[in-house]
Amino acid sequence: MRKNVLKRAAAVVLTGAMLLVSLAGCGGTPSSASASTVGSSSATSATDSGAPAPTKQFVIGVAEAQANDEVTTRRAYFENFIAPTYNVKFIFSEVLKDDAAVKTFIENCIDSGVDAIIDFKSNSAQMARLCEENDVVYTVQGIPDMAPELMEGDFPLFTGWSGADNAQVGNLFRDWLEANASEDGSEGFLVSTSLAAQGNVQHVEVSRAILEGLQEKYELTYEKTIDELVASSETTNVANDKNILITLYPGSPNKETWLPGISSLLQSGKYAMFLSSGQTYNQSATAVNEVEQAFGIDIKVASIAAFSTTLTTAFNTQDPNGNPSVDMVTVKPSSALNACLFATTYNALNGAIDTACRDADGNAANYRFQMISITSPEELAMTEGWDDRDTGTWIAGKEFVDSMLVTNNPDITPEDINKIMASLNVESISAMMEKA
Amino acid sequence: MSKWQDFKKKHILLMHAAFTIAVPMAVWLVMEVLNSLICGVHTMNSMVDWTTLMRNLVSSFCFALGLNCNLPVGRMDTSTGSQMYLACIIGGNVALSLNLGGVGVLMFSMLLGMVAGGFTGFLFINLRILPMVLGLGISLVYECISFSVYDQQGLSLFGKQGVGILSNKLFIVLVTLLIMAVMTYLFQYSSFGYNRRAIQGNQKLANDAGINIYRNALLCYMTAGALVAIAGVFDTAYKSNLVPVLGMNSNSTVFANMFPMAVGVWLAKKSNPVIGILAGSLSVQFLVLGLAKFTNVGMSDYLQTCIKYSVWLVFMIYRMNEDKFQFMKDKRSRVALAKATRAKRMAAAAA
Repeated sequence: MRKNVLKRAAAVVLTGAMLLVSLAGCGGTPSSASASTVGSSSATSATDSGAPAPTKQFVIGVAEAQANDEVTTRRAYFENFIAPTYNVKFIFSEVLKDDAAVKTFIENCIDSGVDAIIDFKSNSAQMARLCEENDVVYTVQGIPDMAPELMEGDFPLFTGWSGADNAQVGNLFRDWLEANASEDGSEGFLVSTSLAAQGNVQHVEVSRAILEGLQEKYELTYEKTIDELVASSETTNVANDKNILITLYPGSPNKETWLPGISSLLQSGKYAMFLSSGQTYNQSATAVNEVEQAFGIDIKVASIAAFSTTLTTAFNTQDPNGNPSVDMVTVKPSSALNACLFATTYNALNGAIDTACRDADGNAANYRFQMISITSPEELAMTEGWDDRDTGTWIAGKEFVDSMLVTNNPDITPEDINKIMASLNVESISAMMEKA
Repeated sequence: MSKWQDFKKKHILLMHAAFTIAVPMAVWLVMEVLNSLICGVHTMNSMVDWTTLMRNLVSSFCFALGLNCNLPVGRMDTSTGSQMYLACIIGGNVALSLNLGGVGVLMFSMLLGMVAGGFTGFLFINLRILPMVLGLGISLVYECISFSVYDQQGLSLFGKQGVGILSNKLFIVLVTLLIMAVMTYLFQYSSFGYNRRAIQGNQKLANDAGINIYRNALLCYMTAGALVAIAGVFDTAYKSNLVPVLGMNSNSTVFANMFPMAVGVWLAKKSNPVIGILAGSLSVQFLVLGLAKFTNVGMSDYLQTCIKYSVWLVFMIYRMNEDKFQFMKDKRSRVALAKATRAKRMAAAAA
C-alpha cells in the first residue's frame, strides 16, 4: 500500500519535472499553430496600410535543409510578420537530409491540406510532379541549371526559382581576395563545399561563386569544370594552370569526421585562407583558433552568414592574433529572399501564375538577389537592426512585399520583381530601414 | 611451467595492466606508422591534436560508460542519444541564461540528464516495455522536445562567456579523473554496484535473494543519463553548437559509441569496466584521429567512417569467436605436447 503511494508520488514528481522543463524551454516562441490563429483573427490589426485584409487563409509548407540562424530568422519572419499580415499559415519541417525526407514531408503536408510548398532543400522534378498531382503550388530556392528537367518539363503549378546572383557573390569574394590575398596565391585556400555534393542549392551556388572568385582573381584555368569540382564528395585539390593550392573539403559540420578533417588540413600549415559555402564560421572557430595558437599563424576565414547574434559574436570575438573570428561574411538579406519566395507563391495561389510567375518566353520565373559583404565590426554595426527577429524589424517590410504582390499590382511580372530584388544593396537597404 | 609463465603468474596485476595499456598503444603505433608513411605527418602532430584527443576522449568515455550502465544487464537503451540532446540543450541554455559559464552548463546538463534518464527508467520499471522499444519511443519524444525549444537552435557555446574552461586540458583531466573515481566506486565498491553485478549474473536469482531490481534499474538509467549529458557538453564545446535532430537521428550517437564500449568491455576482463572503457575509448580515438590525417591525402570522410566501422566489425567477429580461437590454440598445444611426449618415449625406448 505504502509502496503504491510512493510509486504514485514519484510518478507525479517526475512527470511534473519533465513538464516544467519542457515548458521552461518553450519560452515565448510562437508556434506555427499560433501563427495560424493570429493570422486568421488579427490580420487587419497587423496591417498598417489601407489595403483590405485578405480573407482566404493559405497554408504553405516550408521544407528546410539546415538548422542555423538563417532558418530561425526565416521562421520568425514568416510566423511573426507574413502570417498575420497576409493571413497565411506555415508548416515548417525539421532538417531534411535527402530527397526522400523532402518527399515524406511534402506528402505529410498534402495530407494536412497545404496549398503550396516552398522548398529550400531539393530542386527536383520529382517534388514538382508530386505537388502537381495534388494541386499544390511549388516554389524552390535555387537555380535552373541544377534542375533542367524543371525547365523542360510541364509543371503548370511550378512558380520558379529564387536565389543569389552567383556572379555578384563571386565578385564579393574576388573583391575581398583582392584586398586580402597575396598576389601569387601562395598562402593556400581551403574551401568547405559543405553539402554541395548532396545537391544543397545554397552550398552549390556559393561554392561555385568562391571558385569563380578565385578564378577571376588569379586568372586561373581549372582542369575540370566548376560543376564537376563542386559535385565531388571527396577532398579534392583543384588542379589549375598556376598550381595554386585550392582544396575542396565537402561535408557537414554535424558529421563527426568533419571538424577533425578541417583541423588536420589546417595543421598541415598549407592553408592561410578558409572559405566556406555554408554557415560554418561558428562551428569551426574552436578548431581554427587552436591551430592559430599552436602554430602562430593567422588563418583568414570567410563564410556565409545571416544577421544574428552569432554573427555579432563572431566579429566581436578575437582570435589569438587580435583579429575577429571571421574576416569576411556574405550575408543574404534573408527577409528579402523569403519575401520573394512568398510573393511568387502567393501570386500563384491568387490565380496569377501565368502572368506573375512566367517570363516573356513562358518559362518559370528566375529571381536573383544580391548578397552583402561585411568585413569588419564597424560594417556590421551599420547593419544593426536589419532582419532583427527579436525586434521584428525587417528589410523586406510590408511596402516591399506589397510591391511584389498581384493583389496590389495586378500587372506585375517576373521582370518587375527581378528589378525590385536587384535594387537591394547596402545603400538602398539603409535608406529603407531609416524610412521604417 | 616455463619461466615466462611463472613470471606471468607471479605478476598477474602487472600483466593485466600491460594488456590494458597495450591495446591503445598498439592502435596508436599502427596509425602512427601509416600516417608517417602515407601522409607524412604524425598521428599526434601538435598540441591541437592532444587537445582534440582529450576532449573527444572524455566525451566518448562518458557516453560509452553511460551505455555500459544498462547494456550488460540486458537493457539496450536506445534513448541515450536523445537524452544527451535534451539534457544539453535545456540544461545548457538554462545555465547560460544564468551566466554560470562552462561549469554551470556541465552541472545543469548533468542534472537534466539524470531527470531524463530517470524518467525513462521509471517508465521501464512500471510499464515493463522492452528497453529497446521503449528507448525508440522515448527518443522520438525527447527529440521533439529538444527541437521545439529555443527556436530549434539547440545549444550554442560559440563566444559565450566562461565556456572556454570546457576546452582547458587541466579541467578535462580533472573531470575524467573524477568520473573514473565516482564510477569505479559506484560499479565496484558500492551496494549499487554489487547489486548490479548480481542482476547481471541472474536477474531472477538476484530478485529472489532480496535485491530490489527495480530501484537498481532506475539508478542505472539515471546514471547513464548524467554520463551522456557530460559527453554532450564536451562534444558541444568542440563543435561550438549542438543542433537538435528528429526522426531518431540521435540513435547514430548511440551506435557510434558502441564501438568504444565493446572494446572497453573486452579490455575490462583484465581490469575493471571503468578502466577498460577508458582504454577502449582511447583506442578508438587514436583510430579516428589517425584516419582524419588521411584527409591530407584525399581520403573522404565517408571512407574513414567505413574503415572505422569495418574495424569494429572485425573486432566483434573476433570477440564472438574468441572462445573458438582459444579452443583451437589449446588443441594445438595439447597435440604438440602429445607429440613431444610420444617422441620422448620412443627415444627412451629406442635407447
